[in-house]
Amino acid sequence: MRTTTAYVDVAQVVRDASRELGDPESRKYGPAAYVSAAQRALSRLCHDVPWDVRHFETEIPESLIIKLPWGTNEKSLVVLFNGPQCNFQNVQTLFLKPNMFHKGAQGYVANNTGQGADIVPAGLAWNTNWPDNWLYFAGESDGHLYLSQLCRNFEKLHITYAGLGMECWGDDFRIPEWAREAITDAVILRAAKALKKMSVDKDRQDYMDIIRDKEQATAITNPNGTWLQALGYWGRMDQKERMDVWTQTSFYGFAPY
Amino acid sequence: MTIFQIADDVANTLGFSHDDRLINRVAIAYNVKIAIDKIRDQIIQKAYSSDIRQVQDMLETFVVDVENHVADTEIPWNCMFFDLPVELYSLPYDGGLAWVRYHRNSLPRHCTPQIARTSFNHYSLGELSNVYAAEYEQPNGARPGVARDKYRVYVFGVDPQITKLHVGLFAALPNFTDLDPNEEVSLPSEYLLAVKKLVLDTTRFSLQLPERYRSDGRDLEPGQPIRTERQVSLNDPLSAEQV
Repeated sequence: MRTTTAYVDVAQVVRDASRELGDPESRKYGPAAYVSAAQRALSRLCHDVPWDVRHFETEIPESLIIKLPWGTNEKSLVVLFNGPQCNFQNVQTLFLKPNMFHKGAQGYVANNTGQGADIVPAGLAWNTNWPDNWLYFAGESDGHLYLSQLCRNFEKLHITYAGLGMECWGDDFRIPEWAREAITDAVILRAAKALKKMSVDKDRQDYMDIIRDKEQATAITNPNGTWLQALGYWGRMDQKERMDVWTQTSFYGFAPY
Repeated sequence: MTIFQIADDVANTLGFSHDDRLINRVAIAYNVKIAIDKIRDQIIQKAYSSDIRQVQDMLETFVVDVENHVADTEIPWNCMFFDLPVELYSLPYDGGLAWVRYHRNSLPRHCTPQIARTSFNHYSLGELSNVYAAEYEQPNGARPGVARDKYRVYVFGVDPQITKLHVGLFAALPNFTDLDPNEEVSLPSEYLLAVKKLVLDTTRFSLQLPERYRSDGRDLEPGQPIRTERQVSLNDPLSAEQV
């Protein structure tokens, strides 16, 4: 999975943005408001690309209800396993089933149709013996996973997911370096919109010019904009992964240039 | 330059080289004070739209005592505040209160000196409830804030052991009764001409008033409105090239 080791402190982004806005003391918009704008930009980035890869492991409780970690944005892997470590030789995929819910005891409700056959994930063809003794599934609602009865066969649950760039709401956060320009522009745009309201005459016109410029820069439709460039940088970071897939599927290897 | 020096120069220009029968020196000096405040306000206001470093020679710094107040009849809520040591210009973004920082030398023992770098956020008292609802803006020790009324600046998110703060202010000249007209005033010399023009305008205006009361027709026709002078702007053709 694409990942980076270079991060920029949010104070650096705030400094760049405030200077470009003609607010070098951060006096007009306020240091905290700049940080808040940076956080909003980071959230948008996390929804655009799942760069903040995280792992979550927990015991399966008696109630079969598991509270998901804060900031679970996109899940890419959910498996059940036994033992102290998630060994992939002995895991089972946990299927997520729409609208399944239970209160911690036997049985569950879900959006099954017809004769109670479950349309996801097994499909109608398997409705004669539902659930199969090897099928493990769970519903998700209100930040919790509601596991099916058979999940009791396992001790633990592992989730690989993409977060929101921070551990918890209100925590400090860092900006991935490849997104530095994009987030700086997004911060400038937010600040300029607020400062336009506080200004008159020439200042107002200046801020309108900045807004026009930064709206273009952060537009997802503009290939020359910093936002789309950042997504491009992120996309290129998995070159090794693509080379490996090429080597494995073509049996020719990938030229090292 | 002192206020009296500018006042004497204006008196000379008005032709009062030998006496102050029509307008006395103190009255002109008062107009000088008003004019300096007006010009300084314009300069600082303009700098807030361009480069604030231009007006750092007008910035005054103070170390102020912070009071940790327990609710009483006068101020019915627990709060921390300091009183402004001087009167401020009414500038955009409440720019008269230019900045507030921790006073490094009087930080409590448990505070790291680096916290003195922290810039305080500036809010209005009415805005505070929204600020506290915003996770990344609500005041705390590392993200303190201030909000003020007329003479008092309330401090939020600050450790109660903080007793002093360091503040930078754009201060108006003191009341005329507290002002020593023989003291140097902080005004860039290139703006002396703008001040002089403004004083000449205002003093000429005041000199016209007795003419109206007499209505003897020497200077004004009966019922003729008094000719008022336009206010001096930093952007007028004369001074634009100086700014």
